[in-house]
Amino acid sequence: MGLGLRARIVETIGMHLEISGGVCRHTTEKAEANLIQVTEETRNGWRVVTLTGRADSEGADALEIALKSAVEGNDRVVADFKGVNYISSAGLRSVLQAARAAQTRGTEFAVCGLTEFVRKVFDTSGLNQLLHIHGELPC
Amino acid sequence: MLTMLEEVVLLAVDENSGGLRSTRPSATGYALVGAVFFDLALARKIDTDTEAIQIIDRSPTGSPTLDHVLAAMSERGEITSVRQWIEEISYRRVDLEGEALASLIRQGILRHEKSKRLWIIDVERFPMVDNRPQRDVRLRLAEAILSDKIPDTRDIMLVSIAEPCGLLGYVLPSEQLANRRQRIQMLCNLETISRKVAHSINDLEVALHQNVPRIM
Repeated sequence: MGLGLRARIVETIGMHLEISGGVCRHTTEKAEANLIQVTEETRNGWRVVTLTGRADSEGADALEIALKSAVEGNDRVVADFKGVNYISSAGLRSVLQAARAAQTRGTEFAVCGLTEFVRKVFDTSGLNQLLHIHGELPC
Repeated sequence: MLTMLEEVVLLAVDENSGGLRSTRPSATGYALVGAVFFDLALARKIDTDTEAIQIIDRSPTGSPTLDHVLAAMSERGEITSVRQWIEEISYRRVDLEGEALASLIRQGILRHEKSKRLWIIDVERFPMVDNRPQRDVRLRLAEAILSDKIPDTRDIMLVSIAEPCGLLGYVLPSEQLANRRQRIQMLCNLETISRKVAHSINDLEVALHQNVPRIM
């Protein structure tokens, strides 16, 4: 996906996209502490998508767009959840659909840094059977 | 696009006779409530975590069935667990199946026929006017079950509602379902709503079993 198209899609859901020094940052207009915030950078061949805040219904679209966009433009993507203190079913669906997009494209997709609450949700739902989960960043 | 509720009710219609079929009628009530909750979740009206359900937007969806359930939930803020809400809506005996059938008739997918059996008993049938939507639902279910790929969100939800309704046997032969049992269980477990539907059904069936007198 071209950056122009990506930015337009992001605009439609009321988010800003900033790129500086190879780091991509998405924040919603309501940049409150509890909304999901996404930053991206490339490290040792991995696109690292760092997530902070609550992965719930309010941020689910932003989360899915950010992860799918990373998956579509890179061969190895890891979503770092160490800053995520809550994930709802809507947030889980976003992660799962990003993993689906990765599977379709052949992108290696992993998650890491799960906090205790998020790990419990992943375990309860059985998402750990479908995703590659690392304790720390694999890069 | 059909709602989850309409898709699962459409799957229950026998394409040859127009009759409604289910191998687990006692479980269907809870499962249909689960389908409505999935519709509300897809419309971003509710969200869930491992136990709790939250209303995040009380504005109407435009679907009378969904709005009726959403309004009922808005009135009872003291109920917060997914499980309690599944049972509460089920006990209210909202005719979710009837409302979905009426919608499918309005959309030109089914038609309604009434007849008498033995001159007394009313028999209702819903013959297909357009069988493509049901074929699409069956195809998506088969693909979600037989493939090892991660399915689309709606297809995960569809599997997890069709399974407790006992409808998967109308999609795939029993041998194939038996071979894919682990996959079906994995898909059913992904969503909190379907896990809680399964718990409610299990408790209901245990209670029914305990109340049946044993003949020694």
